[in-house]
Amino acid sequence: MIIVCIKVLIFLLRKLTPYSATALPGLLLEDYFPSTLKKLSSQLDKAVFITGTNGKTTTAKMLGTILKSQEVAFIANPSGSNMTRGIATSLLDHCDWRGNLSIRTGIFEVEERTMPKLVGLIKPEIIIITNIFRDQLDAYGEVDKTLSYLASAISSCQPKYLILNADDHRVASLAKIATGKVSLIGLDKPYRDQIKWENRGPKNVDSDYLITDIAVRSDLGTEFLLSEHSKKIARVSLRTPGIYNCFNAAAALLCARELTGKLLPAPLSSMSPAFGRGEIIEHLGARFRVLLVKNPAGMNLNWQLINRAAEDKAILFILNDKVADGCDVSWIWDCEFNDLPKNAKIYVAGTRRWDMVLRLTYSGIHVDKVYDKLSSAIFDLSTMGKKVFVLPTYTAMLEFRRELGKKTKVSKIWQQ
Amino acid sequence: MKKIILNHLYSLNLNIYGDLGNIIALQHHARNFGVDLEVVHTEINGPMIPADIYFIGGGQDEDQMLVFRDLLKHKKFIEEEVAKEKIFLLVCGGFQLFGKYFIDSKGNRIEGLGILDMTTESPDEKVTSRCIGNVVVKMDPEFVKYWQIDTGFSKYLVGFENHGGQTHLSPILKPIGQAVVGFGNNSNDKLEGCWHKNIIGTYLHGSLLPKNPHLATAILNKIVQIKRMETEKTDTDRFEMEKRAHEEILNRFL
Repeated sequence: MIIVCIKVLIFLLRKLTPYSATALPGLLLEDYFPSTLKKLSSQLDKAVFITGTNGKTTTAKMLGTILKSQEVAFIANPSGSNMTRGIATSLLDHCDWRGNLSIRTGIFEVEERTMPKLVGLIKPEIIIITNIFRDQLDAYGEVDKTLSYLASAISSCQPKYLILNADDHRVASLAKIATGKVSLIGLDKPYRDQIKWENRGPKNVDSDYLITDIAVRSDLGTEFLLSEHSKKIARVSLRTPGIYNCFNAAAALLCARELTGKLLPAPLSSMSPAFGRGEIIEHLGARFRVLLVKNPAGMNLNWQLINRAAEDKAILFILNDKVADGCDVSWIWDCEFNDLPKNAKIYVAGTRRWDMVLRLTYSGIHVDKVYDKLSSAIFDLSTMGKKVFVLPTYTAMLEFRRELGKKTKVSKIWQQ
Repeated sequence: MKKIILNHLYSLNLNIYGDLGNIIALQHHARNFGVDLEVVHTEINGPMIPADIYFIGGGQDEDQMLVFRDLLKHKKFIEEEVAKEKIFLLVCGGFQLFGKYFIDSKGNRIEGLGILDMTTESPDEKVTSRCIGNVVVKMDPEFVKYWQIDTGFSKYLVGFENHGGQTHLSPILKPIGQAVVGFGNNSNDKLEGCWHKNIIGTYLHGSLLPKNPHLATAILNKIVQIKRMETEKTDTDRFEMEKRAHEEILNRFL
């Protein structure tokens, strides 16, 4: 009965507003009907959790793409609604009126702090941990606290297989508490040093899998070689931009190999980027590439990418400070803007646009225009016919897609 | 070019929550003064470098403990610099270290420098609540007067706090103001930060100085006075962007 009511609610909410009902129905279940949630979640035979500060959504999409190519059915939370409520909503989407799940495998991206609680509800067989960066510190407090959430989750659920980032010393340290198989994936040294790892820099952890020979194509797609104990095992080609996505792809490949018994890089070469993660949306003469930024590490990695793109480009920063963005915007002061493309036009919008303007101006960067309304920014930039790199925080990204979606086709986030 | 030296203490360990913004802001305003702001660093086990202004920021508990031990080695030097009326800007974790003692979340008592007559206790490990959020501080008139802060720009300071530690000032130590939005030093008394000689301690980051140019320029003016430097005049009318950022917070939260 509860399930019937909530499913009706999901249907109605999605009819009403096109960008909703990815969390609320699950929240009702989580808060008021925990035993019903338990009844749903306990039907899963197999689950993979993907967690870490950056790369959860992209890694989950990559893993899902490979599994789909093998016709493996699974339940996921592609909308990025990655707390218990979001995962509960996904389960609701896949059960019948009596509460029976039609599919018994779950591939979920999970917010770091949700991990300890969620492993009590769903016991994952495999956990992928991408990295731990400063992110939404107002919510979490500190990066070491994030690490402790992940450690306690691993200790309590003891996954059979743990896939870890060898270059992030906090993440790599989790190998010590693993009781099952562990794979450490690392970038070759020159690439590893391009990423500003949190506080203490990369350590030379022996990785089991090494990413080498990274090449960035003119369309900003990425190619690399994956080696297993120095033996080359795959050449991987991605449409998703950014060297940091090489780890995500490698993790997805190894995870899919564990699930299917096969190493399958081919499906990744045609996968379009996940929403807001390098996604391209065209409107009139403009080509918007949306690159979600949530923290300094992510911001700094954009410059190299944008510098590679052809001339006549613009950058639109959209800085919001809602809960899902992190209410504290001080992280913008930890970003480096020295490598920001010199020839790009700079535009700023968002609830904390003036903080962003100050940040850029203090670094000697000329801001061409500040927009009070995102719709005006979209209107102006659409008619300029430039390549526009949109660097939004999380809610800003959703808002941008929603605004642009009023004018042109933008895919729905839960149908990724 | 005339030069001011800023020592960013323990920048490798205490550099969380955009602390760098304070230095970037001081550099920006110094340029407008026609002064070059040179940044030097003293790190753990490194030499202490004399400067005109010392800045120390916040960090994670683990890093803060490492810094605590090292900082005590420089206690005498710091006391002498304070006596010479050198300027210290202390934010969050760094602020706590200048007090009498600090009790961490496990109940360990750690001696501080004892330069500021105040104490800090971290809540029990099981208590998850922290003082987190936007803060608006109404500046204390005495603070404004001593530092010659231009209240024509604003009589408030705005920022963001994120701390577990609860700091209590002794009755003789003066706060920089009253938290009219947010917590300030602790969850109860609404006092925010403190000042003593030329030390300013605060829980505001986010970052403090970019959105509070009246304080940033007051600090620079103080250094200039102490050093008897001649500089180009500035006026607050130029702070248009800063004003937008500052008022955005006042309008939303006050």
